[in-house]
Amino acid sequence: MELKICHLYPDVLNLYGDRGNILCLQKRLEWRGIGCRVDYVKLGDPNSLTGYDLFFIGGGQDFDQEVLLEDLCTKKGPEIGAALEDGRTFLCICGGYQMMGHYYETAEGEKCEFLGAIDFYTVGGKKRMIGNYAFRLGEESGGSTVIGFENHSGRTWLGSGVHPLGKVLKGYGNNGMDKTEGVRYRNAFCTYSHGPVLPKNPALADTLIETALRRKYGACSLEPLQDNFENLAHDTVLKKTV
Amino acid sequence: MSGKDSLQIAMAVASCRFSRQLLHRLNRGGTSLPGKLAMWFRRDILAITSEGVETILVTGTNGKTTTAAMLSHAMEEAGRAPLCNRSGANLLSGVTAEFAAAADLRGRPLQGRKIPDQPADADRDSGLYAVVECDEGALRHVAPLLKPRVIVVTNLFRDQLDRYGEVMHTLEAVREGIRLAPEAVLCLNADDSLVASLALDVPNPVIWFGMEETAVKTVVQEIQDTSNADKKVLREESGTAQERQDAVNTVDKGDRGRFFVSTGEETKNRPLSPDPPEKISDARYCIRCGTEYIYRYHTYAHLGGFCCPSCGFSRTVPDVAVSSIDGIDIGGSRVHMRVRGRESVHREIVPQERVSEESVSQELPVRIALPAVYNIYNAAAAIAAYSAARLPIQEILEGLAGVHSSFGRMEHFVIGGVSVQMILVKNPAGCNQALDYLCALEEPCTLVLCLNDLDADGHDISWIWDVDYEKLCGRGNIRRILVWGKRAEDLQLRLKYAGLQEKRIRRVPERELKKLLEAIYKSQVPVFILPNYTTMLPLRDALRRAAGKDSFWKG
Repeated sequence: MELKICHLYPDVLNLYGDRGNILCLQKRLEWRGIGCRVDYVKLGDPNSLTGYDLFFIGGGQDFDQEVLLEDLCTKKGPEIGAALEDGRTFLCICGGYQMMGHYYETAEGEKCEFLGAIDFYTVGGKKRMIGNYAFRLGEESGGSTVIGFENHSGRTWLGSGVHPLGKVLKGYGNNGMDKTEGVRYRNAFCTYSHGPVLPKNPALADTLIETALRRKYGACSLEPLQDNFENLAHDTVLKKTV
Repeated sequence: MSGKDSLQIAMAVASCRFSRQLLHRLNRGGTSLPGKLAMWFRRDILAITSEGVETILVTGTNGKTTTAAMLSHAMEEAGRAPLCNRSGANLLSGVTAEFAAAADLRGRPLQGRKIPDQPADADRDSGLYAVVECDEGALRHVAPLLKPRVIVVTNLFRDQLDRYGEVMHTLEAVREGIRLAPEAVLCLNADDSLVASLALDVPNPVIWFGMEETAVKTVVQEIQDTSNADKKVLREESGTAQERQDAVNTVDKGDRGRFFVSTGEETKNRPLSPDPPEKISDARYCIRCGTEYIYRYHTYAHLGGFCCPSCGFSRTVPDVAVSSIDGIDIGGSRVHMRVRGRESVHREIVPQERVSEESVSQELPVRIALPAVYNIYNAAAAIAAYSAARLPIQEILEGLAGVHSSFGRMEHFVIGGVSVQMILVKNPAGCNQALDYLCALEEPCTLVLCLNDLDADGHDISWIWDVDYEKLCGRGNIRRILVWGKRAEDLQLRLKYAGLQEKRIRRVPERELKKLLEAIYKSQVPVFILPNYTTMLPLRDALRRAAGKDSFWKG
C-alpha cells in the first residue's frame, strides 16, 4: 500500500508550521509500514496533478498568496476541481481553505476570485480572530474533538449545500458568529486550524489517512499507534482552552 | 520655555525617576509604568531628554540585543559611557523611561561625558551617546522623538505571528519608522532582501553590511539526503505498528546537517544552513515585482546573494563585508571583514565634505567573542553602525573581541564545574541557527529545550514545526534532551515527529523548575539551554544565583 501526497505551493504557503501536517502524515504511514511519497508542487510547476491520493494546501502571507492566484485559478484550478469531485482527499488550512471557495472580499469591498470548488465565500473583517480554539468534528469526520490555533481576519460563510467540518466549542471558527468551523465537502477537510492541526489531533490525522486509503484500496483498517505524546499535547491544550 | 513647559518636564523626569527607584526597591524591574508616567506629564519627553545625544538605534527580528550589547560594550571600553536600554525595555515607554531617568530636572541629558582626546568631529560631537534597542513595531513611535543618528536593521524573519501578523506587516512598520527619521544613516543587512528594500525611495544615506560568497565557501557542510533512508525503512512490512514506530525512530540518520569549518582548501559552495532554501523562506518573491529571486549563494534562511531576474532588484555589495570565516568554536569566531575606508563611506553620507584620498577598502581580521554564524552578522552590523556614527573603528574591533553575552543570548555559566550555556530562541530562524551551532560541536552535551506561550512569547507556538529539529537525529554527542515549560508537551511531540527516540526525551512538568535545575546541575557534560523569553527569565535567575553572579538589576 502506498499513498501519494501532493503538497501544493510549499514554497508560498508555508506559514505557522503547517508543514508539520505533512510530517505527521508521513510518520503515521511510515510507522504502520504503509508507503508514502510526497511531491512538492510549486508555483508555476507544470506537472500534472493526476494520480495523487491526498492534497495538502497550507496558509501563507497575504503578499505571497496574491503571487499565486493566477497560477492557482487559471492553471491548476481545473485539475484541483476534478480531483476533488473524484473523491481525492484534501486537507486545506486557513488561506488554502479560503482559496477553495468562490471569492474573498476585503473589508474595503475589493473582490478576489478564487477557485469556487466548494460552495462558500469569505469576507474580510477588521478584527483578527486569534487564539487557541477547539471544535468537535462532525460524525462523518470521526466526531473527535480538535484543538488548534486560529489566526485569520476573513469571515467564511458556507453555502446551503455544504457541511461544516465541525462545531466550535471555544473560539471563533469560520466567522465568530454561527459556531461553524471549516467545511467538509466530499473528501475535502478544510479548516482554519494551524497548530499544526494534525500532530496534536491524531484521530483526525488517521481519518484523513483512512479516507485516502479507502478510496484507493476499498476497505481499510489502520493499526493503532501508541499516541501518548500526541494525546498528552492534545489534552494539555484542550484543558487550557475550554 | 514657558513656566508650564518646565513644570511638565520636571514632573515627567521626577515621576519617572521616583517610580523607577520604587519599583527597583520592590524588585519589580522591567515594567512600563515609569515611562508611561513620564509621557503622561509630557508626551514628547523623549524628544527633550534625548536632544543632542548621538544615538544608535538597533531594530530587526533577531540580534537586536546582541548588536546593541556589542556597540555599548565598545563605547563603554572607550570611555563614552553610553546610555542603554539593556533590559529589553524596547518599546516607547521603556526607551522613554531610560532617557527621562537619566536627565536633569530641566530635561537635559546628564549621562555621558566629553572625551577630550577624541579628535573626530570635535565640533559636532556632543560627547553624549546612546545605544537603543527598539522593537520593530515601536520604531515608528520611537524614531520621530529620538531622532537617532544611526538606525541599524539586523534582519527580518517570521516572529510572533500572532502579535505582529505577517513579516510583511513588520517590514511596513519598520519602513514607516524610517520614513519618520529622514536624517538617520541606515545600516542595512545587504543579504536580506526585505531589509534591503528599506533603502528604496528614502533619502537616507545607507551603509550596507553582509556576508560575501567567499565567506560561505569557507564553511563546508555535508548534507545527506535522508528522505531515501526513510523510504528504505518504510518498505519493511514486518512487525507491529508499534515495533516499527520504535524501529523507525531509532534509525541513525547519519551526520545530517553537520558542518565544520575548513580553513584552507576551496570546496563546493553550500549554504551554511543544512536546509535547502525552499524549505522555509520569508522572502521568496521580489518585493518590487513578485518574481522569484535567484540566489547566487545562501548564508541562512532567506539571507544571501539574491537577485530579481525581472526587475533587477538585487543585493548591494556591502561596505562592511565578511570575506572569510576562519574559525568558529564555543569561545567565539575569527573572521576577516572588508571594510570600506571610513572616508569613502562618508563621502556618500556627507558629499559636500572634503575627504582625504586615503579611502581604499581594508581587509581586517576580526575576533568576535561570541560564537555562531548569526553573531558574525551582528558584528558586521555593529562595525557598520560604528562607521555610520563616525566613531573610530578600532574601538568596535576591540569591543567585539571582549564582548560578553547579554541577557540569555549565549550567556555562559559555570555551576559546580559544569558549563551551562543559554541561547535565547524565539523563532525558527534563530532556533535553527542555535541548533546548527550545537551540531557543529563535537563534545557530548545535554540539551534543554524550553517553551512557554505567555503574552511576551506569543501565544502561537506553531513555529516549532518550522524548526529543523531533525538535525538532532544521529547526533550521538547530544546525550539527553530535557523539555520544560507550559508547552513542553508540544516540544516533546515535535521531537518525536523529528525522528528522535522517545526514551531520549525527558519532560519536566512546568511547575517543577526545581527538578529541571537539579537535572542541569547533575549533568556530567556541558549543558545547552534553548529557552524562549519567559522560560528564560526564571532559569536565568536561578543559574545566576547558582553561579554566583550579580543580580540583573544593578540599580
